[in-house]
Amino acid sequence: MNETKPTKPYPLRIPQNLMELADAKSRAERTDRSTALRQLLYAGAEEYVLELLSEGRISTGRAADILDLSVHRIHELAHRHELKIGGTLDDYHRSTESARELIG
Amino acid sequence: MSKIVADADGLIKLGKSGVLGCLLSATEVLVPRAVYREAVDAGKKEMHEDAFELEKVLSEGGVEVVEDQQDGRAEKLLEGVTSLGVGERATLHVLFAREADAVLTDDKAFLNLLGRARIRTLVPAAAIVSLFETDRLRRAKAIEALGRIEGLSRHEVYEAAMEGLIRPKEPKEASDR
Repeated sequence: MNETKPTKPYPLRIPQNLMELADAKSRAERTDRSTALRQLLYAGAEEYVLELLSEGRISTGRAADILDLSVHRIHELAHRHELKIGGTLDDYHRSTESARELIG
Repeated sequence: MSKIVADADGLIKLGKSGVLGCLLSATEVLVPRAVYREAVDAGKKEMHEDAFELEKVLSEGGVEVVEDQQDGRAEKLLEGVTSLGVGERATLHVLFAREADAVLTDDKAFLNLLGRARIRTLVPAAAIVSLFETDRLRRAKAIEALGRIEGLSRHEVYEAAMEGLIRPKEPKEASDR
């Protein structure tokens, strides 16, 4: 997450209502339409990535990489969205057995 | 002394709990360079207080930051895997290359892969309970540590770990009451 991610052009037809939303956002936030559209895209991506994370389909590191954020920030977002991340009860029980050998 | 490799998720959570230093005195913890970048460097860049604290604890605990390693066994396990990030991948390589005993992580996707490969794992909640059970951590401190990571843990895991902390210990623990 140290460098800006590369971008690439992609032809996309955007529904009129979303374009109007982007225009409204750009006016309210004094930015241009493309930036507003990218921000909306990121907001959707963030939600989807967090969903994948809570289902265990991607790791925290992968989520951080995709969203170009730190692992600390991913933890904050998950906490804010009240998402259950982390190992399951089975993982905990397996780990408890290992812990007794590793630490004991 | 057991040798444990940490990923960023496990390191940050145990750091946040305030008992990472205690684990460092009981085991040898290896931190891959990529993990250090994720947990410390990237966190400091975003001004996360925890990252600064983590840097201090790791430094004081004499943790070895391991430069990038390549191991064929890790490579094989990671073949076709797209769900893991750079840090988790580096953790697996270091685990094999340095013949470590287990991985410190609380990442569900990573735990799934490690479980399938029958690699031993240490999740932060279990580490806290074990440090308490082996008298390295007093009960009050252990309960406080678990509370600090409650929001980052599944509720059922928090409950199970708490149960382990409030359960009466064997008689030798009398001085802790």
